[in-house]
Amino acid sequence: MKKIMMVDDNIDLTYVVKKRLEKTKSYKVISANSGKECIEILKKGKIPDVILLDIMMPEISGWDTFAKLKANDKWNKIPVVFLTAKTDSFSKGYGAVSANDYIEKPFEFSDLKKRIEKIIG
Amino acid sequence: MSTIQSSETIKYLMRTLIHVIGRRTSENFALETLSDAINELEPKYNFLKLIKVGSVVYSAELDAIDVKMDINYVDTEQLSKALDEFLDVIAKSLGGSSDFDFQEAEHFLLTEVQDELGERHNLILQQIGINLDIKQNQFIIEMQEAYKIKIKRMRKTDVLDHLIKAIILTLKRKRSELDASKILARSINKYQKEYDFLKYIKIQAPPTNKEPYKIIVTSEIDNIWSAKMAKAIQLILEESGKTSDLKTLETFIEDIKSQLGRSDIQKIEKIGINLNQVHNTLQRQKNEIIFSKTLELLIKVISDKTSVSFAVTIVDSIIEKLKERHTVLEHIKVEKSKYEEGLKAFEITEEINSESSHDLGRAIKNIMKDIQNHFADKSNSFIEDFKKTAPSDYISEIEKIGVNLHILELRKSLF
Repeated sequence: MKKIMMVDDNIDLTYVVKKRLEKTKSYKVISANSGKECIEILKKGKIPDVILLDIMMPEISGWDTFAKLKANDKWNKIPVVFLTAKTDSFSKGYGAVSANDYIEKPFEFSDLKKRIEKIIG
Repeated sequence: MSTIQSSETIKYLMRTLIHVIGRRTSENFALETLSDAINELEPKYNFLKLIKVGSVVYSAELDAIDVKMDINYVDTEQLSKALDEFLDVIAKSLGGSSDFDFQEAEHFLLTEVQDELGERHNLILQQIGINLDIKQNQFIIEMQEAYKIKIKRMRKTDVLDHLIKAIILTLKRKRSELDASKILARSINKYQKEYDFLKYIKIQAPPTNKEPYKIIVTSEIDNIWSAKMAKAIQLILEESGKTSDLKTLETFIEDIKSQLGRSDIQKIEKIGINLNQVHNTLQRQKNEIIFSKTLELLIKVISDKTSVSFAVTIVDSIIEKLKERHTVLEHIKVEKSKYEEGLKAFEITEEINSESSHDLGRAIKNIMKDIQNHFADKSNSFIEDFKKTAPSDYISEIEKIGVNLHILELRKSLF
């Protein structure tokens, strides 16, 4: 079963996405409510197949979390999908340069599932 | 054996001295100098009264120099001693007060006199016991020694203090005094490990972030070997110069020189600091400076909308991706642990300066294109933002190496 880590400070959203993805029986979802928690989980050796990463989070933003992932040799190959309400052309542009995908909130669950499948099958 | 007698050669030597000294001063002054020298030595060498120096202007009709034939019978050793001292007295009156200035004056006086005397008279002087060649070599050695002592004695503290002030004033033209002092402090710190004596240049951080750093040269620096110090100062100048924008880079050293004045420049050169060499090195470092500015601008533009560490991540990943196509990018190293430090995460090796600037231009163009291509549809937001942030001299400099931002915009609008 493929592992997905969802990093978002919106607990309700992570709960819903986790439930719906796990319902497909194809994925196991690890939730992290901040960039810091994401890094702590990774440090414990729980390496997911993909990370869904919010951008606007308190303390460590999604941009900085992304940079921390890429600076670490053990984690820099993990595909990252930005999942964010930031819809300005710059965020979308820079997100697209760096990450594997950039999904704007609100999103259709079916679309999210399709794009995850495209990356990790 | 030459048929020329000593009296004739001495007369010719006197005339030559009048001509050489007179060329730089006046013939009257030359005559007075010679006359004074003879008067000074006459009590010691009585036979010098046989040489008469007139007080009138030398001319073909009225010879100002008269050397009695009796001088041919003077003991050669005594004559040699007298002439040797005579030349020293003249040089002393022409030179300054220090040993070095005197030796320098004598050296140049002898060179010119020897050239004008010609082979025949030089030979006669040698027979008397005056070998101008040997005398000159002796002065060169003495000059070198005196020069070393002079440099050692020279207070480097003041010279360096003036130089530091001049660097800050030059850097200040394009930025605040605080930033200017920070750049210089950083440049000094960079070389402190390699040149331990730089600890004698004290850097005091300001109590508030509104005042500049205080950079004080302490007197211990006077005891440091000049050549080693000159090398360190040149590196500091290069490091500070590299932070200039491309336009002021051209005039960086000239601007420092104009702040210093002639006397300080001479002293700086005497320590061994070659300002022209720094200028040439800075010119050769253009590739490095252009690419460093490019990185700085990219990080600024991207981080304004994201974050510094993210901006560095993007730039790093694009450079890595393009290294296969652009070998010039092999000279860019990144330290991933320094992502959060922005530009400091990157290291540009000096070898980039030996690459063709057009290869560098192509690489920069493709970095821009790569970022721009990820922007949706016909959006030129990235290039527009980059153009707004980049200083005009940078834009014109990259245009010279083939990076035309306007064409990049047009290209995106077309496809």
